[in-house]
Amino acid sequence: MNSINTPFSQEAISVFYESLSIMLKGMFGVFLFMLVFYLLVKVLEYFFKDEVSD
Amino acid sequence: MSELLVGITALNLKILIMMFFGGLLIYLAIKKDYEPALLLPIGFGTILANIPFSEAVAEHGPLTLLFKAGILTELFPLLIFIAIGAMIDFSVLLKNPFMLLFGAAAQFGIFFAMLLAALLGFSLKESAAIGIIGAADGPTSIYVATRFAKDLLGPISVAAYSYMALVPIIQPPVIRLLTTSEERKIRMDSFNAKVPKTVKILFPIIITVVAGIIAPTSAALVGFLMFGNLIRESGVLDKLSKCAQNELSSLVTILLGITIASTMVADKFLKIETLFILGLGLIAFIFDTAGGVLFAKFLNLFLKKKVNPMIGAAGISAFPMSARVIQKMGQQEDKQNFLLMPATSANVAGQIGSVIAGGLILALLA
Repeated sequence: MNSINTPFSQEAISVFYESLSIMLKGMFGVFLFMLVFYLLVKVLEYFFKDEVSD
Repeated sequence: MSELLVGITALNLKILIMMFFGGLLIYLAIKKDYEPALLLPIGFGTILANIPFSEAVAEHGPLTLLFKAGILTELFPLLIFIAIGAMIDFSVLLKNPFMLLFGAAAQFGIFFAMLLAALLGFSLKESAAIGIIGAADGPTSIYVATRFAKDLLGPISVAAYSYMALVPIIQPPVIRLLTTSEERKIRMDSFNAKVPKTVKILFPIIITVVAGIIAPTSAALVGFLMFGNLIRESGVLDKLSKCAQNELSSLVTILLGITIASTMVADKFLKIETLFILGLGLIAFIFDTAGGVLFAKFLNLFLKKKVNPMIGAAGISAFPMSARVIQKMGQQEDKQNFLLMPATSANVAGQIGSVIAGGLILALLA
């Protein structure tokens, strides 16, 4: 287990900014996926609305 | 005679601390019922791995072989995903797909903990592996940690499973802090969770294809989860579905727990970084909860029919503990407020959200 940077050092701040970018992309990505899944469920619901439910 | 004493003479304080820690995990599993299926094998494995000159973790020892065959290949967490998929009933979510959004918001803790880990000096990939504790999903944490930070696998797994067991203790104070009594009293409709069989069969297939095409690195994670669910919903593989839910789950869980413990040897585990990881894991769970609650409050600014913001907290993957916590808190405020159904929907959404978050982190850092 190696902590390669000293806490709050210049290097750590640099990794922090990289993480911030991953955070923004990651949260946007998760919401995007969930929105797509939401739409897919709605489409499935529309096409199979007349089928008897289990 | 000296050969018989070689183990005793090799004992030192670090080894004794690790053995005590293994015993503590066994105690928590048996006496406190904290994720016993995982913590008990990890606890026993920790003791086994720290016995001086233990053959169990020697170069060709059984735990070393299991680690190479099951963890480094990512096979064990993926097999667990088949079992989890076979256990999940997506009906409540399919009937109320709006809840998918809470399954996204409650992944916030992953990324917040990742930021803090970076500030504490961990590398980008180690920070991501630590952040993923906030997925509240053991197999996803193990899967990502295996890729990005093998040396941190032990503490990450222990943190992930321990905090999942502690959800009933971690979530309520965070929720109370961020909501008013009036908000916690908001009632939500229960609904009939019957869904057409074709929808339940098509859902896992379509999700796998869509997730796989958008983020190919998530294909194995999402695919194995959805494969388990397809076995369940197909209606023609009842024996396999039950096998996945029981025998497969039990068998792989035993092997997964004791194998992870093989990484928890004193020299690797007793470091200040381990304390950082345990602390960051707790922060991840706290900010998951906060992310879900605050997102629900944000939505309420625009919605005519308000959502109980506590539902947002159920968007984490810890199923069904989180949904039960919300139901209990709702009843504490108003005995006639039944939140179990919508909370379960959000909780199931969290199971998808955590896997997607794991897949995205793999894709973004590949």
